[in-house]
Amino acid sequence: METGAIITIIVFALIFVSGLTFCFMQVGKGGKWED
Amino acid sequence: MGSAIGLGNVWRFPYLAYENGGGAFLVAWMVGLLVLGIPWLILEFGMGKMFQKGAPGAFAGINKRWEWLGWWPVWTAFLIVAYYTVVMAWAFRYVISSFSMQWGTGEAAAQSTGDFFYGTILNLSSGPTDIGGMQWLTLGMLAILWIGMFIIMFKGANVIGKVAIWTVAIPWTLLMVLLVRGLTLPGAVEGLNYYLNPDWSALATGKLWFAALSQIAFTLSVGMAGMYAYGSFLTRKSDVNNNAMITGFANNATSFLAGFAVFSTLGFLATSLSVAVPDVAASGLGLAFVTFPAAISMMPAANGFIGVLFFLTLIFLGIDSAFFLAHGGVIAPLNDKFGGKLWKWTAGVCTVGFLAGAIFCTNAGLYWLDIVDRAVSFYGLLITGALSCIVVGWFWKPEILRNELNATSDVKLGAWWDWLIKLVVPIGLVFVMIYGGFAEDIPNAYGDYQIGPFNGSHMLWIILIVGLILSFVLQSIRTKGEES
Repeated sequence: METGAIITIIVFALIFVSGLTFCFMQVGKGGKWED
Repeated sequence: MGSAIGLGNVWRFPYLAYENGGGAFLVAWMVGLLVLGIPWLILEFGMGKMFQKGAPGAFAGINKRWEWLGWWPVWTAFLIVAYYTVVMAWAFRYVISSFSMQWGTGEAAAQSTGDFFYGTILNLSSGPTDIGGMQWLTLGMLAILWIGMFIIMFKGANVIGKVAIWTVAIPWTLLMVLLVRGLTLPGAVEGLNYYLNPDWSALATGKLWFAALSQIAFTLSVGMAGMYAYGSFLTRKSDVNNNAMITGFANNATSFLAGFAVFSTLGFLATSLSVAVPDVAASGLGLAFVTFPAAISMMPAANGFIGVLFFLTLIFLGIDSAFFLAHGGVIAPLNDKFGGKLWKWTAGVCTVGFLAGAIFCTNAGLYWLDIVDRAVSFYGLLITGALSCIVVGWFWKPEILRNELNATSDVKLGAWWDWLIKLVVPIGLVFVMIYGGFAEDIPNAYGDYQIGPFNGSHMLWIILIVGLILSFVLQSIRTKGEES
C-alpha cells in the first residue's frame, strides 16, 4: 500500500476514535425519547 | 444516528473521495462536518427541542409568518421517502435474486450486470413519458416495506427508537463482514490506494470543495424536516450539542469504513477483470446495482451469500432513514398541526407514500426518480437549508437558542456558532447549489428529458414550486391542534 494511503488511514482513524471517545465521555445528561 | 447513516454513506462518499484527491478530500469533508454539518444539525435538533414541535411548528414558534419554511422541507421529505423506499424494494429483489445468483457468475455475467438491472429489474423504457407497464414484483416489495414501516411507526417515537437500535447495529455488523471479505480479496490494496492516496493539489479546486460540502449537506439528513421532530422528542434536559456531534462523527466514521468495503471490492473486480480501478469505479445506483453485483459474480466462493449480505446491508441502512423521513419529516409535523390520532396519520402517509412510489415502479420509474431526486434532494434540501439558517440567523436571535442548548450541555457553543449559522452554512449551501446545480441546469436542460412542453430543468422548478405553494396553503390553515 502507498505511504500516503497508510498515513490517511492512521490520521483519520485517530480523529474518529478520539472524537467519538470525547463525545461519549460527555454523555450523561439525559437524551431519553418521549412521545 | 440511524437516520443520518444511510445509502449515501456507501454509494456516494467512497466514489467522491476517490474522484477528488483521496485523503485531501477527507480533510475538506471533515472541515465541512465541523463548520457546516454539525452547526446545522444543532440548529435543527435545537429548534425542535426548544419549541417541542416538528419543523413547521418550530418556525411558527419564531413567528407565524415563517411556518411555510417548515412545511417546504416536509414536501422534500415526502418525495424522498417515496422513491427511497423504491430503491429499497429493488434491493429486496436483489436479495431474492442473490439466492440463485440470477444474474450469473463468472466474467461474462460480471460484464452484463447492467442488462440485469436495466432489463430484468427495471425493464427500463425509452423516456419519462413512455411509462410502459408496472414492475409488479417491485410494487409488491414496496407494499411490504410500507406495511412494515406502518407497523413500526404507528405507535410513535418510542417504538422507532427501539427498532433503530437494531437497524443501526445490523447494517454496521454486515458492513464489517463485507469489509473483511473485501480486504481479503486479491487486488484489495490497489483499490484502497485509489480511495485514500492523497492528491493535495485537489484542495485548491472548487470541484473538491463542492464534493465535500455537498456530501456533508446530503449525508446528515438535515434539510428534510425530520431532525426538528426528532429534537422535539427529546426531554428538556437532553444534551443536543453532544448528540449532534456524536451523530456527525459516527456518520463520517461509517462513511470512512464503508469506503474500505467498497474500494477493496472494486480493487478485486478490477484485478479479476484485468482492468484499471477507474474503469470499474462508480457511485449511486450504478455502484449498488451494476458494479457490486459484477464483483459478487467474480468472487471465488459464496457469491450468493455475499449478495444477500450486501443487499440486506443496503435495506437496513435505508430503513431507518425511511422511518426518519416518513415519521419525523411528514407524520409528526402533520400530527402537530392538525392533532388527531397518530396511527391515522401514519396510515394516511404510508398509503399516499406507497401510491406516490408506484410511479417509480413503472418502466419509466428510473427517469422520474432521477428528476424528483434532483429537485428535492438537491435543490429542495439546499434552498430550504440556506433559508432556515438565514431566518434563524438574521430574523431571529440565534443566541436565544444557543443559551437554551448550552444550559444542558457540557460542550458550550460560543458566539462563533451564531456566525456559522448566519454566514458560513448558508454561503456553503448556496455555493453547492450554484456550482453543482444552477451552473449546469440553467444553461442545459437537466437530463435531456422532455415531458410535454417541459424539459428536465422545467420539471425541477415545477416540483419545487408545487411544494412552496402547498407550504403557504398549509400555513394559512388555522387548526385546533395549533392553538393548543
